[in-house]
Amino acid sequence: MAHEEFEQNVALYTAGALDPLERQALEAHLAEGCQLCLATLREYQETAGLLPHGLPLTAPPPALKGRIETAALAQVLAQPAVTNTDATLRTADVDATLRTPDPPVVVPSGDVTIRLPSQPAGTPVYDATVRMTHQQAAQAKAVSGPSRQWPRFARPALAAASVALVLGIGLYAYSLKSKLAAEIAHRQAIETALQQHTLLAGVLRQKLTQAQQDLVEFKQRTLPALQDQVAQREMDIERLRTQVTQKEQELVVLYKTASPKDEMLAMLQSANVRVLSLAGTDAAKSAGGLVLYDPERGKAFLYAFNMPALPRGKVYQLWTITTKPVSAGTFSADTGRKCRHLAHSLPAKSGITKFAVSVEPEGGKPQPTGAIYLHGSL
Amino acid sequence: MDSSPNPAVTSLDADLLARVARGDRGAFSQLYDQSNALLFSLAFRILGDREAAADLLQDVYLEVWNKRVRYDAERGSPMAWMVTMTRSRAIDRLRSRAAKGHGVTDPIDNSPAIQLTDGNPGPLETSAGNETRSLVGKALAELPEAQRKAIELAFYQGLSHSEIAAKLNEPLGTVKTRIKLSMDKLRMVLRPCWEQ
Repeated sequence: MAHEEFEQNVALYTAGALDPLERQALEAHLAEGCQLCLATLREYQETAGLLPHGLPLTAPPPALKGRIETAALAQVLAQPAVTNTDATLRTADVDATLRTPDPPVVVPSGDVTIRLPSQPAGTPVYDATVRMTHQQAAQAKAVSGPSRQWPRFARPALAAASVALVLGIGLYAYSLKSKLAAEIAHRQAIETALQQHTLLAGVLRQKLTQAQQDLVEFKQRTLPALQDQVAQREMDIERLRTQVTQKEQELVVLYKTASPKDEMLAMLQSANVRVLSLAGTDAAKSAGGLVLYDPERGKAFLYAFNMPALPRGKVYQLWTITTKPVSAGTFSADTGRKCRHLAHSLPAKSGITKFAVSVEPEGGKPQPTGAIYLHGSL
Repeated sequence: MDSSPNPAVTSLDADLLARVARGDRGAFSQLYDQSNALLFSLAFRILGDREAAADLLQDVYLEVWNKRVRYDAERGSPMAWMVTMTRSRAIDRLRSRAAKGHGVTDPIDNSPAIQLTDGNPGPLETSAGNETRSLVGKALAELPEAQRKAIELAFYQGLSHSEIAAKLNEPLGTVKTRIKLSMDKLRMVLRPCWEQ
């Protein structure tokens, strides 16, 4: 692919619009260090990097930061295992460098005697200075031979080598020491963090214990008291429920009592209502009554007073009479021997001429059988 | 952990990333404060799911913290680097979700191609970020609809130009030109944002 084509593709690359093969080709080209393309890439990269500023800002969940920081810390705390080993190795290296005499290579150089570190197999290469030192040491060892007798002409060279060795080892030791110091500082930081977390864990554990104690206390003391209260409340509720039922029943009774009155009022307001009075017969001389009769709607309301007490198993029955008596319902008297009775479904416009009240067996009869107490004509 | 949130900053200090790379937890906290709102908005726009966006952000920040990825100043500013990384991880996740057969929602069909800022600062915005936001919003608004849609499909849905061409049923060359033209325009208009 020509350079121009790569350059063309940089814009699409930063917008994320290249096909995988094109992307790989461009990345390879960039990796070759094409400065022109890299400069173009930087500008498009900045452009693409600004695109999200066109989005509505959405806040991450507030807990996310804590979650990330905890995970980061957990990773830091998980590292010491590796770091420790590493640091120990390095310490061992330093020790070996500074102390181990096995096998010591003694290089006489004037008044100075230098001990070189042994070179264990697989020792990591630290830096060029150290490698140089080892090479020189090996050379020195080779030169020294088994007799350790140094030819006079070799002494200046050996002296130079020795100085290089001293410098090299010094640098090596210095580099190891500073690495170790950094490591120790790092470990101290981690230990401090660990201490803080141990402290925090302690505090949390205390709080947990306290919470557990509170819970036990709650279970032992507060809970039974609360349960008693609940039982008491339940009894109260039951009592109130009974009262409500009772009131409802009373209400039904009241409603039943009230509704004939309402009906009576409604009937009085009706233009078609007829009124007739009922007189007591010989069987009930002091009794009397009143009938409000609405022939249009087929309704009649009876109000009676001073009615003779009903024998057990008997009721009053209202009759409407056209040619023969038709039942208009049964009823009983209240404590003042007064009666109220509403007859709903009388045949409309049926030409009723008379109303009468008789005493009949409970449930009523299709035709009057008992004594007539009240009667009246329209 | 004592720095106050500054959610709408537009640039990050390269030194901050260097401190994070050295294991400085304070710097890590600052990095989060300064970049989370933008990166979360981006991840949320791509994945369309708050929980998935939060998981993604966690992975991105931990990658930076663990030095699995390193900031390379050669490739642009720190914020552009973070945006690029977040976008590419989110697109990867979107693709793997699609490969697993989860339905990929197509937010473009039910939301405007790119939400344009209305110029009124929202609760997360700071005056520092407002200028950039309004500049970017204006630059996007001035693009022809077809160009903006092409950029949108590539950047937020990870579609390549050939996929976009297939989706819109348009010639490949047209789609490529559109993306190139829109990126060129945006580069020109937005240059002051990174050259300040």
